Amino acid sequence: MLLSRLFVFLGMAALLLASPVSAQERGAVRHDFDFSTLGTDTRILVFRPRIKVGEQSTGGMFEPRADWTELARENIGSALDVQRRRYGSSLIDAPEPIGEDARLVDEYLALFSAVSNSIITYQFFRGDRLETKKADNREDVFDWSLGPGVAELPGADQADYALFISTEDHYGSTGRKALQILAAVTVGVGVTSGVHSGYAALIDLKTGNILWINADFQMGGDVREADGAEKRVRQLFEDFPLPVTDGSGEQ
Amino acid sequence: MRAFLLIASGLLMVPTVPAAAHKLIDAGETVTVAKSDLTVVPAIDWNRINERPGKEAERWTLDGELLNDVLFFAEVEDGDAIFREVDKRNSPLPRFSGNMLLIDLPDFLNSSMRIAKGHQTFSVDSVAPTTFLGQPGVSVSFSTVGNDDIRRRGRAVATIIDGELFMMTFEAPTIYFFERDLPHFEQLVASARLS
Amino acid sequence: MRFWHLPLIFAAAGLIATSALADDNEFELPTWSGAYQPQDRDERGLWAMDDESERALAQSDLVIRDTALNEYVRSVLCKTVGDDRCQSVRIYILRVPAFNASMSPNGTMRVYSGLLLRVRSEAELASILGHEFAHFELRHTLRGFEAARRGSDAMAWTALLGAVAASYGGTGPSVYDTQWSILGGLYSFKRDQERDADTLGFAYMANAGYRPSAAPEVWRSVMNESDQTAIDRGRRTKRYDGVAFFASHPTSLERADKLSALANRVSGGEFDGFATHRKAMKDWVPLFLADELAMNDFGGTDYVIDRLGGEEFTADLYYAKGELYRARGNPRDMVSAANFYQNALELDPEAASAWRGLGLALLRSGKAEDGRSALQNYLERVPDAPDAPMLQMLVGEE
Repeated sequence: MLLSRLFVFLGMAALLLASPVSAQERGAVRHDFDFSTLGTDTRILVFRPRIKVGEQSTGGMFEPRADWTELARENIGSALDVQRRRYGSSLIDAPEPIGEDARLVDEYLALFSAVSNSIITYQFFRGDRLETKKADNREDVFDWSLGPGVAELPGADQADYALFISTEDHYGSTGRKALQILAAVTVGVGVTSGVHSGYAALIDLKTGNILWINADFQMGGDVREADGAEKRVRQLFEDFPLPVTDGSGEQ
Repeated sequence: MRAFLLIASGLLMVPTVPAAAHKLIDAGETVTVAKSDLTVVPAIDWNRINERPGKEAERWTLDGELLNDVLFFAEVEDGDAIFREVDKRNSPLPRFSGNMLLIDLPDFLNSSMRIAKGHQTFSVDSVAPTTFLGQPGVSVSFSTVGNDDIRRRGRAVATIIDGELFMMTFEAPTIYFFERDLPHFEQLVASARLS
Repeated sequence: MRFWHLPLIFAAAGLIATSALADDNEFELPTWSGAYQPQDRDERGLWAMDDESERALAQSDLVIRDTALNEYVRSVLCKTVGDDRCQSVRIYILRVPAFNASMSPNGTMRVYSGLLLRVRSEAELASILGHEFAHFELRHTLRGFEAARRGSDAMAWTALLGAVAASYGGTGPSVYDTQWSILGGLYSFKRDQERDADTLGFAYMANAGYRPSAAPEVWRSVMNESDQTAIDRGRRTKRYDGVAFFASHPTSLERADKLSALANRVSGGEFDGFATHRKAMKDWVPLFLADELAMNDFGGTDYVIDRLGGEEFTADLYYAKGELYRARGNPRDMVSAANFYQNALELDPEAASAWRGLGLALLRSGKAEDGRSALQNYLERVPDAPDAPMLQMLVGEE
């Protein structure tokens, strides 16, 4: 188990080294969590990923594209199956929620998006990091939570942790690209080319603490294509802190 | 034109670095807020968000404004909106009026927040008299659903002194954050003074 | 796109093509072929997306689930398009203070509270619901996902939703995303689609016996409201894309005239249904008006109240008018507001909220004693009001 801890550590180090250009981090692990406790008998509840794909209009408005979303759901689904085989029986599907439970799951997914958004904006973007997240030698502290209410999520009593996944892709339209160029020339600001956000996090089902997260507004891989979706999911699972089950990756 | 485009696309590859960082507000120190005579003494460390939400306003947070949003409005004069206009042409903000009564403030806050923050709903849960800055004031509890579909709860404390509005608000998701951080906001309110 | 090759669309298009000749069959209802099922991969994708969005919608806090109100809206739709067609629709009433309704390809109809507030009769409501259903029956909404990309439309839309979340998660995604799921897409119908939907819409109304000229009336009223908003804000405009409904159904004076012409041509009924509408809306008008008041649109809201009042104002409408003027807060507004509250009380002496408004308006006009006694009247009627402690303090002040 020590090995997996080392793996996480090396992974984090690699991530930090890999991203000095933008001074932005893309992943984090909770400072005080002992990842060596994660093993093959760990039970992780996987909630249905939130997947949205669309076009970004000139005005910056998101216009969903159903065909792309459907493609992405299939592609990401297959890519997730690959990960599932890698991690074996630890990943269990959350029950399909109904009624009040469905509402609760939706609320937590919305909160998860807001927390991920805050983590990217106020922790990962170095220049924008909140000072309280740096003060008193807290530079290496990663302390974000959804709160202990996660224990009420359907299926939570059957598992130790939850895996939340959310992706959203806005592919720029021609008009949008023209605007980016115009904005860069006239005002000198960069208008980002679409959004390609992906969040994946492991959440402690007792405390709600985020133990591990990968989150970025600009992820790689075109989810509309099988290869791209596989790349996206690989990125989402980068440094996933669970030991790979022997041999099951091949099949 | 072609050369222009090349330069432009070159620019796009350079990441935009945020201009200035947010400021640490140290626990235990007296801080002046919203460029006014209003001071508070926080018991814990806070972050002041660099961008001002309004001309006479200031924003503090612990984890980001989506998760815990403290706003200070001070010396808001007759005819001023409390937030920066979002879309003045199509949805202008309401203006504070110096002859408003304290009891008019919940409606004013409702309209201001719906328009500035894009709330889908805003409901006033209770309105009660309180003392704020040593003056008779009003305390408002409210609930909102944001345009990110998150249910939040909020608290506002306000008073009007010589026709000027002084107000502090707190808003956080109903799940976890509101209960956790409300005492910190209440401590800020209790420490508020006019220097 | 493929669905344009379906026979039914050809039939409908043929129907329209002959309309210039004032064909007797102009307003004949096409045979209902049952709810359309997705045919190919692309369309199945659309449906899946739509179903996903409906799932989010069904969970939303914005949906008004009151049985009586839902039954009323459904009854008007069913009466308009007939029970067969009606069965393919699931209606969601959304509490959003804007004039809009839309229908998506899987049969989800969204009706905003702002629409219910602004129509005065069954016939007016039927004209809008019928128009939306016509877009659905003619499968225009299938193309709705090709939402308008023009910047101006996007601006109109965001303005209507209250605002862009500039201060609120502005950096990340998901803001419009969830909005889209709940509020419905931004459909921009083309001119020929509008013409076809108008014709079919009138066919439904005629069939149901509703007075067809209710359609151009409600259409014009929303244009007038938009004009009043503009005038009050000191600008002149004849652009109506600031109205949610018109952002997707482009309108102009010319368009309104064409509607009137169509209405005159169709041999419709005479039924309006003012009374039934008023009865169904009675408990909701105060709430929906309160939502409008928060939008800070004096000119537009004033117009809406006056139109609803028509020849006969109710206590609720006088009260709303009082609230509107009191919120604007000029000294002369306080005098007007006090009058409106008094009008409300004359019609209904037990209109408790009017006592509250009257008291506050009088206090702000310097009539302290009268103000306090009005507030006292309010507190006697609603001792547990959420702001009772605050009012108690005002009453107690000497």
